[in-house]
Amino acid sequence: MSRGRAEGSALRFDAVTAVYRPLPAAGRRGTEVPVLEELSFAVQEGSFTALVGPSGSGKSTILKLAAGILRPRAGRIEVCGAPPGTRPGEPLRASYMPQRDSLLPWRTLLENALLPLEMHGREAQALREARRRAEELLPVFGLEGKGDAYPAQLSGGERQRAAFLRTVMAGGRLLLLDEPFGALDALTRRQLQLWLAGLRRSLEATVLLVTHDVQEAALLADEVLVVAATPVRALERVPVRDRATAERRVLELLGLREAAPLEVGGA
Amino acid sequence: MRGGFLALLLLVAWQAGVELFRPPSFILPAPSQVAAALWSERATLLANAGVTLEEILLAVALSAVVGVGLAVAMRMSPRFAGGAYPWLVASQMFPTVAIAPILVLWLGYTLAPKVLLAVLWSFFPLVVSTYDGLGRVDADAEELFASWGAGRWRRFRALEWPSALPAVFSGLKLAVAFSVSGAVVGEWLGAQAGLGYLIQRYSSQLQASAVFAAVFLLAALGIGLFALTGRVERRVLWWLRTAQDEIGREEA
Repeated sequence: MSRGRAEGSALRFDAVTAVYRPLPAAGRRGTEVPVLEELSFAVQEGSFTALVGPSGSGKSTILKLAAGILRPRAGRIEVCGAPPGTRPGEPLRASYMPQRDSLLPWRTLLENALLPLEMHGREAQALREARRRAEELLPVFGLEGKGDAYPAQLSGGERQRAAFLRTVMAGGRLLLLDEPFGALDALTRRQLQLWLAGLRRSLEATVLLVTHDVQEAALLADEVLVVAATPVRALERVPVRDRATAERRVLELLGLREAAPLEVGGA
Repeated sequence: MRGGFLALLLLVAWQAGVELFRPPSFILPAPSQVAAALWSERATLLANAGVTLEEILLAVALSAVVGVGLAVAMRMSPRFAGGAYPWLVASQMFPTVAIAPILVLWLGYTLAPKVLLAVLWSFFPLVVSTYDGLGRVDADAEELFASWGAGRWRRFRALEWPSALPAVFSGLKLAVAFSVSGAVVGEWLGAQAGLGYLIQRYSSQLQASAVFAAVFLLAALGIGLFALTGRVERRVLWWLRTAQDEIGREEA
């Protein structure tokens, strides 16, 4: 990865408006709920950014827009300099990881990890090489000797790490992680957070992590973007210099803590 | 095990009832008489069972191809689904038995009208369950596949088809059951061989024990085919079992 491009942004939202259309309740027509209103923000290439906010605040919508799963009503989105989404033949720019692992139970761990490339139509030769690389990565992901195991044979933490391996194998330079530890028990979550914090430096990718866990955000990210109100018009930036200060500031922005003006630092 | 015990109990009660009340044997034969008929008529019964089995297997195979094919086409093209679904439902709403004589009229005393009638009955549950199964794919997985830019057919092969397989097998098991009745009714309406034809012939000769023997053989055929489908299902859908096992473990 060339250092020369470090100035660029891996993800850029330009006055993006998006709506959410809930499933219509019985006998009623679904009305649109605005989620984003002319939202602009950028994520620096090579950074680890956390997107924090309460449930239903539009964090996941931002991620799904970046992954090309949802389309904006208005505005422009750029992922590594191009529109989101992908066409067969051209490499993925963003790899999306949903909250639930969504591993296919009829495929082994390795087959699951190779699924994104397979779905993208890579030739047999490229898939064989990818398989070798995935095998090499297994120990790094704490999955040594589990390559041929089926998801049902893995523990919750292992499944989540397998889903993360699949996300990395998809090859995007921007990793979009949607509450990757949200479905785990507290102990396993902590283990995986520490593991990811350790892995973070060897990941040559930009990470955008959606979470509602302020501690997790401060532990992993260099910068926290706070979603304070819905519809989202702006994101508050909190750089993480030391964790305690950043946590306090984020909680404050979320209105979960009494304001302590003397401690406010950074932005 | 429990089923076998119950069957034994019923047979004993039947035998005892016949010994006790002695109904005319052309009304209700004793199980021992039915067993004797099974043995004495074994050559005729087996030859005709072979014909019916052939009809059933042909019907199930044809239903599988037509039913699954239609369901996949409907899932792939909502426009085709919109046009085809009403006709599919309509095909089940008129009394098929009534058109069976027409089928015999057109196709003669061959296998064809029986197979066709069986297909007419058995393809419908297969279409409906396969179509529904293909539509019941995990929403998270669908989003994931969309984020990878997976093409229509690739997504179908890797995600939708395996997800639908449990529903396909449910439809297949129904198709087997319906094909048995379909083939027999087809034989009643005009045949020169088959267990259905045999039942009618024995019945007109007042050979009740032979009728019962043929019915038993038919039931055994149906149950055997159903069980065989279940075995194949468990073999193919092994991952469903392990996934359920895990859900059980998590809840424990």
